Amino acid sequence: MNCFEWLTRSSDYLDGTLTGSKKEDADTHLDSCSGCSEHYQHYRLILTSISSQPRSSLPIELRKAPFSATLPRLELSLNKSRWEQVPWYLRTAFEATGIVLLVLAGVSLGPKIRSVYEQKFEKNLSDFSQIFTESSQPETPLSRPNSSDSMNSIAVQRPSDEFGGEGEDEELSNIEEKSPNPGENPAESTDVKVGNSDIWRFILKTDSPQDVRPKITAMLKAFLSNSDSQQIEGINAPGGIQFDLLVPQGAVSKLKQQLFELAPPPPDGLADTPAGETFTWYKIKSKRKIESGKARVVIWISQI
Amino acid sequence: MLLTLNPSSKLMSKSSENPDQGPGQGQSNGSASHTFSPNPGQVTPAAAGRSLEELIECYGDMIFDLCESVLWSSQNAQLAFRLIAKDLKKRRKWNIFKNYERTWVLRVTYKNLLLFAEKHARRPTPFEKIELDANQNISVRLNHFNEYFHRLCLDDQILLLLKDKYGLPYPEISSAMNISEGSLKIRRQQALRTLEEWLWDQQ
Repeated sequence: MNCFEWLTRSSDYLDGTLTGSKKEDADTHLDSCSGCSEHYQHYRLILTSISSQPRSSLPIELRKAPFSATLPRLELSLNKSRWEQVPWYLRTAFEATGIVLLVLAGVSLGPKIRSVYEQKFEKNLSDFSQIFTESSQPETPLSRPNSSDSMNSIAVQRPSDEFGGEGEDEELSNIEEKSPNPGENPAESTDVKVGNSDIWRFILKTDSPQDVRPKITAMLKAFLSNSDSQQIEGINAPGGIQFDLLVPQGAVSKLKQQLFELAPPPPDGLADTPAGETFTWYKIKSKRKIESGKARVVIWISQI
Repeated sequence: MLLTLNPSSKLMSKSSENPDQGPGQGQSNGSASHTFSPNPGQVTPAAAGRSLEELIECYGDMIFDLCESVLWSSQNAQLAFRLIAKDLKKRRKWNIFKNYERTWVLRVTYKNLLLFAEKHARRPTPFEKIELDANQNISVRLNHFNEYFHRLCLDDQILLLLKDKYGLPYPEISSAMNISEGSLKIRRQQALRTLEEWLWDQQ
């Protein structure tokens, strides 16, 4: 008999039910194997401990009246936490209240957190845009207008009428005032209301932008006493020339009238169509704060 | 006459003399003893029709002691005993073990005790387990044998108690626990091996 066989028969051996040659084999193995002998001693000790446990008698009152005797309260097991020992109806109420409060807090705080995140994101974006434009300007001074708001610049290059009007920008949706219908003289409405934080965009279509450029520069010099010469002379951009500067609010209407006069007549056959409009304008609100009493004017001279 | 549960070496020796005499074999003894005898071969036959009071008188001590040993609490043992007594009263008419009353009582006791113990049995907490395992001295560990014993699963505890504390034969335990005799022997061996590992092998 080897150790494995002894272990499989150890239960019978302990009970004394192993008889005959098997018992002799087991005895022989125990004499020769110290490990199994040690196991045997341990098992004997364990069985003795179990059989020598004290025994309790049924309490007399429970014996006499098993169903009516007063019993002690249920002793809660020690492996239960204090929270588990709280009655279920209180626990459920607390948990339900907690879940409801959590949901309400999430619903109320969600939009606030989102707005804070968006503000931070926009700030980072505008800072980056400012740094980018400032750093790229000396190298490519004519590739981009010197504007602090790059989005506005893009909007200027893509007016809805000029490029088919697909996918209007967010800023274009804020247009407060538009140029009149084709054929209508914008100069007639000279009483223009110019508010704070206005960006006026004038689009002039001509077949010779370079010829119109000095005229506009001269016009602007009349309104502006001391301004950046680069801004007054305009910036070459792909597809045209752009002027972007701050002018007094009172000068906007005069500027509009003079630009209308500079605009060439519409091409033949396109007089009453949007494509034949050589001068258009619109006004939007600036997201950035503009100096009080001033309005931002962006003039775009487009090549027909 | 109340049953007497005296643990002694006699119990082991008696069980070794006539160990596996099951309910079927015990019938031939013709003993009509109403007491719970530690002699595993002495099975009480033909006890159907006895009143609940007589059943409690006969097996009450064994049931209560088994409950207290497993639940590790006298208070909870009283509650478990009442639960078992109610079930005995309810099932008395449908006793399918009419000829083997003790087996039937054990079966009802086992089922109810298992249900009750799953919810309310006291188990050593993790802190107690760490504290127990920290003891290096074997004699100290043996003094805390109860704590180690209650770390066993409920089935193993009941099996060891029925077999080695009360000296019941395997066929009777097998009928009560609805486990085959071979499985009972293996489980007992594994339980002993587990206890041995806890008590000795960690040193």
